Amino acid sequence: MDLAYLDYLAAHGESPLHKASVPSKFLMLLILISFIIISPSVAFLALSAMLIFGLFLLSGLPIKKFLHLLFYPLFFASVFALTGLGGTLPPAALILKAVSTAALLLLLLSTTPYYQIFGFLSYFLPGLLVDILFISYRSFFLLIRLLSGLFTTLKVRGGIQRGKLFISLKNITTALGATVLHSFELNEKLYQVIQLRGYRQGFVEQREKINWSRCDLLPLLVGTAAGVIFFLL
Amino acid sequence: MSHLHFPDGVLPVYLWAAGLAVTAIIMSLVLYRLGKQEQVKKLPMVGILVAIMLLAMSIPLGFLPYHLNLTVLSGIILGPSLAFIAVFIVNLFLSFMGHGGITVVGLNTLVIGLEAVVGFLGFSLLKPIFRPTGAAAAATLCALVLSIIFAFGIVTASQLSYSDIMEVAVGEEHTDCSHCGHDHSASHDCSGHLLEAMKAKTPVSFIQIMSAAALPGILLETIVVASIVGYLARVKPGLL
Repeated sequence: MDLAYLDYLAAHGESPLHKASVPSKFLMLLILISFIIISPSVAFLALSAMLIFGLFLLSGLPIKKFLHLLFYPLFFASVFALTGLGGTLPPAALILKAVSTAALLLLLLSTTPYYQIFGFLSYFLPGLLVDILFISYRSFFLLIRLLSGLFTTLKVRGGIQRGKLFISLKNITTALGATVLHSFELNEKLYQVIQLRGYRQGFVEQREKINWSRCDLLPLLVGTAAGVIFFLL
Repeated sequence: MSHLHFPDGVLPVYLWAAGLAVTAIIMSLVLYRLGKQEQVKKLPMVGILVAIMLLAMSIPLGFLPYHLNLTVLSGIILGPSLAFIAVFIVNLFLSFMGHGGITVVGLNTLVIGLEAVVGFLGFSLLKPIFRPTGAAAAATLCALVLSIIFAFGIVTASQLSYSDIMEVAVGEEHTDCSHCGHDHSASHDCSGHLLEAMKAKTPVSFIQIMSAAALPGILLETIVVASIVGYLARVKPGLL
């Protein structure tokens, strides 16, 4: 998982898209994804893909580092296109749809810090669910350190070796078991912390006021442009 | 294991919309119950197990092109309702990473949620009879097989046209029976038509290939979950 890297990019970026407010970015995402899903036109999908990759460049994001993440949708879309599971859609349309929506979501995640995304989602989702999302994200970073430490130790001591699948699997299982055990302690600690702080459903008591700026014009213009292109083509 | 890797735009709208709707209903019920019962104590555990599932998925398994899911383990530890929430969040994160489309989150939650629920039920039933490792292995195997069958059902349903479904649901007269070979000059019983249409449109080769490809993954996940449950039973028996 590259959550840690995406989180770093979101927190340290200075581009207009990083500075744009979350609602404007979500609106752009909603418009673009809706049109990409319903459009069968290869021309529209190709233009949308170019628009999205233009946003990647504009945001100063290292596209090369995203290629392996985009490989998943590319690979699976190709499989569906080649086996004929994509229905009447041309293979190019199927692949463009898959890659573009995945790229859009990655763009959002790498230009918006997670607490802002969760804060915005709390307007629509139940408080309990947003709390769990928040704890999941936080726990991921707590546990990744523990697990990567365990795996480094295993590798250094020869616990994980190429060609020795069963021995490696046994050691990986033990490492995961130890992580699960540790997670129970973490659960107790987190529960005590939230109880001490007088937990009621919804961590976010007061939401930050949305500050609109000139940077919001970028996602709004991109969304509008996508809409215009959709109706023109 | 049985996570549907469908990108956005591949599945028909009625299918993913139905998946999202059913997931939303189940999630609402579970969250309502959770809020009522004040199971706040388990709240951090859900988040932590989401993180563990995401981490397990990122573990490279050498030359094997599979990743672990640990959904059944989550079901065993959290119980069916909380595990369903955990599965939904995992799928949401995965879709943000391009691992399955955002529109497929509902269907994926149902498929993997089934895995967690069956895993929990199987383990609870078998625990008094077998040792924890054996019970976990049997429960995981059943859960994975069932969820894969469900996933294949979705793939098959995605090949049906809207008219195929409406013909049976509303009782409209058939216009295209090329796949079932019915003679429309004579009246016939329509009750089995959807089944016939599904049979005719099932992408058999796809399912055969995917079943063969899924087998090593099923075995791998079963061994890992059973071993972790065995480890937990040895180190802290009270947890299970």
